[in-house]
Amino acid sequence: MRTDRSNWNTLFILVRRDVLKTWRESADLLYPIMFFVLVTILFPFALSPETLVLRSFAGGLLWIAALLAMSVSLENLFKTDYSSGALEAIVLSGVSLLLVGLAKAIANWVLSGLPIIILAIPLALSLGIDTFSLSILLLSLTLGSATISLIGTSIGALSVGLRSAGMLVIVLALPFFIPILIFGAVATSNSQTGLIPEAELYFLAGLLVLTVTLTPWATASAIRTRLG
Amino acid sequence: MFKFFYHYSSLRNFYFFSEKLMPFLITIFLGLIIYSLYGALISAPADYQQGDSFRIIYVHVPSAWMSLLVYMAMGLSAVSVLVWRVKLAEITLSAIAPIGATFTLAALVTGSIWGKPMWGTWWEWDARLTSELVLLFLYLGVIALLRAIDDRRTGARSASILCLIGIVNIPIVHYSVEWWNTLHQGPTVSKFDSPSIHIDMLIPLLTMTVAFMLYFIIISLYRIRSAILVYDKETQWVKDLITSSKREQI
Amino acid sequence: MRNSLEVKSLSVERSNRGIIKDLSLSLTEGHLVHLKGANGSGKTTLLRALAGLIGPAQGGIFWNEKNISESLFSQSRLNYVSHSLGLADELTTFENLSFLRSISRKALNKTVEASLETMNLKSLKDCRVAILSAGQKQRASLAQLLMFSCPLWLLDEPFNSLDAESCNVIESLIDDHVSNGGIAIVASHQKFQSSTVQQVVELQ
Repeated sequence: MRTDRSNWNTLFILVRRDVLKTWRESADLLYPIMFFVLVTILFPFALSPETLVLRSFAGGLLWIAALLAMSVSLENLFKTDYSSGALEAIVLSGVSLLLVGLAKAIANWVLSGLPIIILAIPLALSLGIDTFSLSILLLSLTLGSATISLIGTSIGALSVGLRSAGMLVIVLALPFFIPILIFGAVATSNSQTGLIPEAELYFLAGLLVLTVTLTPWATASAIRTRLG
Repeated sequence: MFKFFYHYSSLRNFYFFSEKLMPFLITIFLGLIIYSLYGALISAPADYQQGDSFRIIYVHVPSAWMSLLVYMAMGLSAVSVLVWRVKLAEITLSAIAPIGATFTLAALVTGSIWGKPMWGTWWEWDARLTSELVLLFLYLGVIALLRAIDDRRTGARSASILCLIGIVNIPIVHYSVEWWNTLHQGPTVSKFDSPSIHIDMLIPLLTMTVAFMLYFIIISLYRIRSAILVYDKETQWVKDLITSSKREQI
Repeated sequence: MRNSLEVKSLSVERSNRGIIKDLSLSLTEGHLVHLKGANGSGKTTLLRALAGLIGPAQGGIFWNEKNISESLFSQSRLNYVSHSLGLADELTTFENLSFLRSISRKALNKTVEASLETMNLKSLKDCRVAILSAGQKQRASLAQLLMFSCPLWLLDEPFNSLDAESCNVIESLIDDHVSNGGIAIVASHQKFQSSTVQQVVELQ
C-alpha cells in the first residue's frame, strides 16, 4: 500500500495534468470566463446605468453570473477524456477514483473558479460596491465556487457522453446551487449595510466541508457507471 | 428474512405476488377515498376565515407530503440499486420518478389556486411553495437523466447517484429557502400552518393522506408490473403469460 | 501460483440487448487467444468486460479463481489497449505516457523513453498527440505494454493503421509476452503471422 504522502503526490499529478490540458486548449479556459464578464455587463443595460440601482443588486448579479459561468464550464471537465478513452485508461491504471474526482474538482476550481473570483474585483467595483462588501463578496465567492466545483464535478461525470450533455449538465446542476446562491448573495448584500454576515459565511463553509467529504464518492461511482 | 426479500425481489415472483395484492389494495383505497371525500367536502365545517376555499388542503397537503415521501422511496431504491444491484429497485426507481413529479406538480398547482383568494395573487414566494418548486426540478433532473441514457442498467445507476445527491440536498434547500424567506418578508407565520386545526377537519386530512399513499402504491405497482414485462420480455415466463392471455381473448 | 483467467457462462448486455451470451473460456499462462468476429459482434464489449469496465449480466470472470468484480485492485493484473487509445490530444506523447506511469498501481517495467524507443517514436516524444498520424498514435498507445509488466494483455485491434514493419514489432512483443508465461487476448480482423496462436474464439 502507498502512504498518504503518495496520495497527495498522485492528486497533484492529476490536477497538474488537467490544468495543463485545459491551458493548451485555451477555448475551454476562456469561454466560461468571457461568459462571466458578458453576463455581468448585460445587467446595466437591462436594469439601469445608475450606480445607486446597480449597487443594491451588485452581489446578486455577480453571484448569478458566476453561477452560470461555472455551470457552463462543467461540460468540458470530462468530455475530451471520455471521448479519447483517457478516462478509461485512468480508471484502469488502478488509481483511486476518489482522488480522480477530487482532482477534477480542484482543476475546475483553479481553471474557472479562481479567474472568476479575480475578475469579480473590477466588475464589482464598476457596479459601485464598497471595499468592505467587496472583501465579503470575494470570501463568499471563494467558499461558494469551491462547493460548486465539487457538486458540479459529480454532475459532470454523470452526464458525460450523453445526448446534449452541455445543456443537461446545467439543468441538472442549477437546482443544487440554489442554497449557495442564497447565502452568497445575502452575505454580500448584508455586508453592504455594514454588517458582518457571519452566519451566511459559516453556512457556506459548512456546505463546503459537507461537499468535500461526500461528492468525491458520488463522482467516483458516476465515473464507473458512465464507463460501464 | 433475507431469503424473503430475495424471493420477492425476483421479477417473476414479484409480478405474481403483486397481482394477488392488487384487489385488496384497490378495495381499501376506494373505501378510504370515499370516506375521506365525504369527510372533507361535507362533514368538515367550513373555516371561519377562509370559508369553503380551505377545503383544497385535502388535496394540497397530502400531495405535498407525498412529494417528499416518494423522493424518500426513490432514495431507498437508489441505495438498493447502488449497493445490492437489485433489478427490482432499478425498475422501481424509474417507475416512481414521474409519479413523484406529478404529486409535486399537484402540490404546486393546488398551492397556487389556494393562494389566489388568500394572497390575491397566483404565486407568492412563500418558503414552502418555493422549496416545492425546487423539488420539482430535482424530480425533472432524475427523469431527464433516465431518459438520456439508453442502457437501462447504467441509466438506473446514474439516476440513483443523482437521487442520492438530491436526498442530501433537500433539507439544505428547505432550510436555506426558509431562511431566505424570513429574511425578506419578516417572521410571519406561514399561511399553510394551521396551529389549531379542528378535529373534524384533521381526521379526513389524515385518512386522505393514507388514501394518497395507497393510490401511489397502486399506480406504482401498475407501472412496475408493466416495466417487468418489458424487462423480462425475452424470458420464457413472459412468453407463456402472453400466449395464455391471447388464448383467453379468443 | 500459475495465473489463470476463467470466464464462466458470461452474458453481457449493452443498451438492453444481449451482446455476449453464455460464453465460457479457460486460459492459463502461455495462452494467446485470437478474438474474431464481424463488426458489432461484441469483441470490444468482451474485452471491456474482461477489463472489469462492464459488469456481467450473468455469469462471471475469475482471475486466479477470484471474481474480478469483488477484488478491488484487479486492474493491476492487466494491460488494456483500447480502440480509442486513451491519449489526450492536448498533451505530448511523453506527457501522456509519463502521466499514466506515475499514477498507475501496476508493476513497472521499462521507462517512458525506452518504451518510446522500442516503438520507434523517440523523435516524436515532445509532439502533441493531436498532430500524430493514426499509426503513430496507435504505437504510442501500445507503448503502455512495455511500461507495465502485467500478466494479462487485452488488445483491441492493435494492428489498426500500422505498417507491415510495426505489425511485426507488435507481433513479436505479443509472442515474447506469451512465451514468458503471459496471457494475451487480441481482437483483430487481421490474420496473425505468428505460429503461437493457441486458440481462436469467433463471436457471433
